[in-house]
Amino acid sequence: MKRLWVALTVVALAVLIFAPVPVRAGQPLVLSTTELVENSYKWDGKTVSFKGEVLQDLMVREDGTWMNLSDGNNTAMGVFVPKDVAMPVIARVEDYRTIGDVVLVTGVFHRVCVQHQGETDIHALNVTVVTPGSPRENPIHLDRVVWLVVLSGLLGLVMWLYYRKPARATKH
Amino acid sequence: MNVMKERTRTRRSTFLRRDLLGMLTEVAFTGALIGVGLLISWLFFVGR
Amino acid sequence: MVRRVWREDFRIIGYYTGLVTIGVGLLMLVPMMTSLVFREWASALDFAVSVALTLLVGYVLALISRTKSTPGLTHAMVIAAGSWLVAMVLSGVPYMLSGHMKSFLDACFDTMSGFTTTGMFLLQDLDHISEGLNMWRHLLTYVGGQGIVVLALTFLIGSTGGAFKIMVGEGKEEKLEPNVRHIAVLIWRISLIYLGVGTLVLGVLAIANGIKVHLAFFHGAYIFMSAWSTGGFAPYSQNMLYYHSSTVEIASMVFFILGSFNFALHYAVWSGNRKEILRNVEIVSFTITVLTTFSLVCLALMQRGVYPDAVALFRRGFFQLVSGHTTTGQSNIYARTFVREWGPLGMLATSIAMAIGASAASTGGGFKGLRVGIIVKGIATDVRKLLSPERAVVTGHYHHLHDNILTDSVVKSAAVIVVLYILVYAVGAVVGMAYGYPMADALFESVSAGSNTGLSCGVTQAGMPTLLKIVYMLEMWMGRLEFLSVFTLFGFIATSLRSMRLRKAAA
Repeated sequence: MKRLWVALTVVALAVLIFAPVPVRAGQPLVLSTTELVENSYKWDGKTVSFKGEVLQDLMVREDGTWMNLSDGNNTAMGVFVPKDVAMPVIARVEDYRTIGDVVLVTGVFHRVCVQHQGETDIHALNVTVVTPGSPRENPIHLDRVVWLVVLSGLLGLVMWLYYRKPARATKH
Repeated sequence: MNVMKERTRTRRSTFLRRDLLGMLTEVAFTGALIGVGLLISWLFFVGR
Repeated sequence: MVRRVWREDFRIIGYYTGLVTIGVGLLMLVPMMTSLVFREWASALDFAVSVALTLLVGYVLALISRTKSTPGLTHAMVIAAGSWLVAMVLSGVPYMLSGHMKSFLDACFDTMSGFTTTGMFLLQDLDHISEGLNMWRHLLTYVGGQGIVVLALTFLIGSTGGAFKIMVGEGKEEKLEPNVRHIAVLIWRISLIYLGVGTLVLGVLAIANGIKVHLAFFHGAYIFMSAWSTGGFAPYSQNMLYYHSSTVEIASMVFFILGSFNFALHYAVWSGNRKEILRNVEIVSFTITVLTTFSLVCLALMQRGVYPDAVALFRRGFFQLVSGHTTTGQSNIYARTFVREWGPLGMLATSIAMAIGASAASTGGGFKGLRVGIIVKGIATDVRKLLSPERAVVTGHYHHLHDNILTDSVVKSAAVIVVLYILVYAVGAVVGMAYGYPMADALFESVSAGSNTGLSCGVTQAGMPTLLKIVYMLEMWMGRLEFLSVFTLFGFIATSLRSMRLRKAAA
């Protein structure tokens, strides 16, 4: 009986130690532009995750595509997606009337990318769309319309006063 | 009347040619400066 | 009698300030139309309101001060300084209405930065503004750059020797010449031709690099205006990094180097005197100081092992250094990279380049190459005098459009202004340090503001101390107007107050 228990324990341990770990463990921490730039030496060459809204232009080049991902107030990072990495369909990119798709990228961060002549960038290994984009509301403020009308009226008056001939001699 | 027209026509093409040459001179100078910058960068690495 | 002259002074200043304000209002029509084209209705409305307000202020000013008198030199300087302030405030209105500013002071900071072609900004979330607002930002630097050049050359052509002295610091009462118009037309012609060529070239490069075709020429225009005016704004927060393109960067660099040249030089070269570009003291000075400071930057970067190869060293190092030296401020590295990677020597070398700055009568800032050249030659001449026998007559010369004699007075005038700049940079640096910023950072940012460069190492943020914002704004303003106008304005105000008090006492 004891030998059976020992055997089972050994088998269980063996399974736990040598069995392949589920792929889930590959998700690195999501970092911000600020963190990456402040500690560029620390993250240089490491595989990181980055999440951001796709800005206006997806620049297709011969060896891949450049995306600029905005992840905050005046912070954005350039992400290079090599040709051999699957690029999902980016339905919406940012502009005044659109909120762009938010994309999660896992890739290698380069402090000074050799391929790109010293650029601070991320070379993507994996790109997924996390939050699809949507139209952006830019409401028209009614009080500004009122201001426009009032100011234009006053302006018209002043301009008339300014441009009319000072016909002082003939008037009276 | 005709003489006037002739003169303005020549003057305009002279201006255009001068403008172009002027621009080219300036761009050439700038290009040369940038080239020297590249040379200096290269020298720093060669000298390493 | 004195009283009437005095009131007339106010009328002249008020009238011309009003005219400038009307000009600014009309200028706002451009971003308004841009927004209409892109169907950015809310933004278009914001600009429409701003146009109406600005034109109203301008016309009211012009109406109440209407005068037929022509401005004298003092008037011109007060108008320059004063209308700058009025334009700064009114140009901030579209910024405020966009909702992207944390305060009105921030908006004024941005417009001051725009008009002075500095390029630092406190705008929030630049990556999400309207096309119209982006057009406005870039237009501000283009107009600011052109405006100051017209002003500078106005004084230059006043009278050959006298006007030049005025440019380097000795004031004299003079009336504005009628051929101001001729000079202004010329400057605009050169600028507009480059605007066309630049927008075309940069637009085509943008398309080649993957920018959407219907936007490419807007990008082209923005980058050109930013480069030519040595302003340094860019449509996105990543500045030139947005484009990931060495061709766009190099093209922009060519334009900002050209934009940093003296307009008198442009005129000379475009009029057939092409040799001038090799003989001119400013170009010689610029070439020497660029290559020297760049070598210093390379030394710093190599010592720290920042870049892996010569191409990266050139593309990042040279671009930033030349951007700094021409006082442009465009950047292809992140702001904090200066601090975190380049280090103190790299930052100091860049600061020196920024401090020296561009050419006189150009869109650039800093000491100006002319003064550096004059001072260096002045020192060389003094050394020669020391080494020569007592009775020998030693005269120095410098070549600026034609050969000029290096008089003691010319050297002194140049030195005075350089000292004033250094003082301004130092005060800004001290204030920064007083708030806890490290010395290299505080100095870098202060010099950047005072020389109207705009490169940032991370100090300029909406959250920075209010006093520091105001200090940088003053630096930008004084640096741009080269002190004269600002001092004249303050002098004028002081004199007016004094004569008001005297009249009250006499009454």
